[in-house]
Amino acid sequence: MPSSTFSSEPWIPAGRWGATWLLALVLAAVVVWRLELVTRAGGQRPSVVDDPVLWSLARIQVDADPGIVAFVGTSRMALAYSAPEFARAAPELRGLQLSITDHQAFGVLADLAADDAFRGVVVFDLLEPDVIDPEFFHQSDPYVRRGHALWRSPGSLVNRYAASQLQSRLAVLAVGGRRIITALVGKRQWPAPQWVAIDRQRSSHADYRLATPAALRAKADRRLPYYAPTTTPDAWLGILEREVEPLVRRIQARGGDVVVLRMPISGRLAARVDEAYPRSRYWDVFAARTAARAIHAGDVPALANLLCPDEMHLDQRDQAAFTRAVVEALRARGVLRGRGRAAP
Amino acid sequence: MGDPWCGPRTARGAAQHRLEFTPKLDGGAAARTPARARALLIVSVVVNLGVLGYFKYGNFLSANLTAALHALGLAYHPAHTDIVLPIGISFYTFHTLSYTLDVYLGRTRPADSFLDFALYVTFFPALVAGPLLRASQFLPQCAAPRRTTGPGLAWGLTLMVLGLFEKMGLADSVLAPFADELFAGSGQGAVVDAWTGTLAFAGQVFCDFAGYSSCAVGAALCLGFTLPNNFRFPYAAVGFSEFWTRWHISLSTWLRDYLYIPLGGNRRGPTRTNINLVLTMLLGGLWHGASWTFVAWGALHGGYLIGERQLKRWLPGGGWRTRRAARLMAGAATFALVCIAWVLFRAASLSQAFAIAGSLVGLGGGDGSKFSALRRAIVGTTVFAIVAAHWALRDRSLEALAERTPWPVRAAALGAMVAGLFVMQGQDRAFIYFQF
Repeated sequence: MPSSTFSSEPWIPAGRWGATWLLALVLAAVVVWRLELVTRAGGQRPSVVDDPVLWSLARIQVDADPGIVAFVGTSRMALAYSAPEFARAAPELRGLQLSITDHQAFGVLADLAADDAFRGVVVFDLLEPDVIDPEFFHQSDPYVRRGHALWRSPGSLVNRYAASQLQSRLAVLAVGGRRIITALVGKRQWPAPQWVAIDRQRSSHADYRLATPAALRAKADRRLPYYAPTTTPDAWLGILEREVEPLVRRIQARGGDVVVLRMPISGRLAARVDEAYPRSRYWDVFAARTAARAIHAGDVPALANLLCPDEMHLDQRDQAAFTRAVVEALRARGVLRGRGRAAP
Repeated sequence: MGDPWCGPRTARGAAQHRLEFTPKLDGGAAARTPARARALLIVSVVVNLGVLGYFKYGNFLSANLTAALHALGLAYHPAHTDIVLPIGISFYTFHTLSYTLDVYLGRTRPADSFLDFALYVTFFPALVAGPLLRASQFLPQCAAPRRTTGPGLAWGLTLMVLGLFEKMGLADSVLAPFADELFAGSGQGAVVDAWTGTLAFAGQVFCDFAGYSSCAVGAALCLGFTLPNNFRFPYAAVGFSEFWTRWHISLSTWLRDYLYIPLGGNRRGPTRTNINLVLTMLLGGLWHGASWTFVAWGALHGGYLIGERQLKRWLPGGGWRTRRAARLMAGAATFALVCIAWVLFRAASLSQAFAIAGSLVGLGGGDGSKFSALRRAIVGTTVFAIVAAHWALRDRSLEALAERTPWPVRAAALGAMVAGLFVMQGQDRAFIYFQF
């Protein structure tokens, strides 16, 4: 027989529910505000959690405007590009941050190449070891797929909007309950502030003053083994010829352009990459063959002078200098000529 | 989530049942003969199970048939089909099945309105992950317009906050990372790691599913509807027959009413009872997903139920069975065995499940734990708190607890959960039962 315990008349616990909820909301607000004060006192800044929906909201801004300059790359580009500085340096253009931290960006380049509307410029972040693993070419696929199905789930857009509003205002959300519990239980102290913060426009900002030298060195140490030489120049160039060149030509055929930018890196990482991928046999050959504009940070003094505190990423205090230098380099090479609102 | 089949198929299912079958089964002149009603019932059941079988089990059956034929030396290469599993299909198929069966058996009256029937099948709080509704529970509520009251709305919202806190605060933020870490590997490792990950999943699956059910019940209450409770402090169960009266109650009662009892239940002797138990649990396992791990999980629970029956027969009677210490020990044993079964439920394959099961009893060969003492303590404390709360409340209800608690204390608990939800945001995990 069907469950005999069910009653369509619910048992609503008696009690002062209005007062209960009012007091509960006041208490919750007090607790969150108190946590916020403690978190900010510890040096933590608000930070938005980046995800495919937030990336998609930037991606849908791509249209037929030839004045769009899309910055495409990994965390290197995410932490280097400054949207406000770009607006100052090139007010006639529209800068878009399409980089994805922890994801190689070949899929994003392919997506822009496949978008018949796109006629702007792609500034594509490339470091020599980025192309050695075939998996790298598909890392950003989940973001790209979400970008093409953005309107299928209106609820996630509402959720994303609300989350961005809260995350960009409350520093305690950047720390998160799990880290708070772990730090309080394990170390009996409030969690240390994170040195990277992300804004609602997806620009990341690294304040390495919040990091200890030991922590930065440990991070660089973990990264170094991944940059050992594993390929030959011919194989490396062959991958780029096969995977990237068709995308470059497709964008250029529509009046767009692609600038492949060898990002500035520092210290032992720079030495390791220079040793594993000698410029004369890798980058210079690629630069001579590619249809894209190839810019090596070492050839642009304003970029070559930038130092990466963790050997891979720029500090937020250098974001403006990086962005200015890139805009000037693009202007110097004529990439931006005829683009943007002021263009004839 | 991107499931283009979900809406249209659900609506089509509702329309098909109401318009094609139900009138003929109950009031249609053509269906007044028992033979015709029976034939129509069979058609309805076959169509329902056929749709469920195609979408949910098509690829599984095809892959296993291919493997079996290959083992016999026959080369068979079925065409590949990309079948998209409609979300919640297991739930609304069981809604429509129970409706047809109950109307046929005279247990419930057919719906007077197609809209009421469609609402029953597609009622959004319960559509994707239950609780499984019976027509006899839901349709009478549609007889008059439903209105919520102030206390009803407040209690509904309280249940939703409780459910979200269980899901986001406990399942996702605290427990899921440990379970993920264990089940992401081969399964071989230290005993302490295997138990840490397994306990974490035991806590996660409860907080995830019970959390969803609380949200569903709360959301329905906010709209003026009442849904059946799906959980009653299951980790305080003493024995497996009691566990299944406390865990996913709407499914276990569905299986009892429409499978176990029609098979004969316990009325045809011990052997037939055991067979019925195993069959019911096997199908219950398979209901969760098209995988041998779910079949094995159901089989193991069937074995547990048979073992419990044998044990009750062998053990001497007397008052010792009701003593607190004995009940606690039996409850602890039940919980441990339920946890071991969860390994099958969560594992990606039988080989991984066996490897983890081996690790649970020290055959994993791992030296040293990958979980720090602090992380193990977090899992242990959280799961212990969940189990202790179940024992404290095992003979009570949440409503009784809320009623007896002074309102300022109730407000403090509610405020802490709301604050916790704020602070815990940022995780993005679907409910586990969405996949079923």
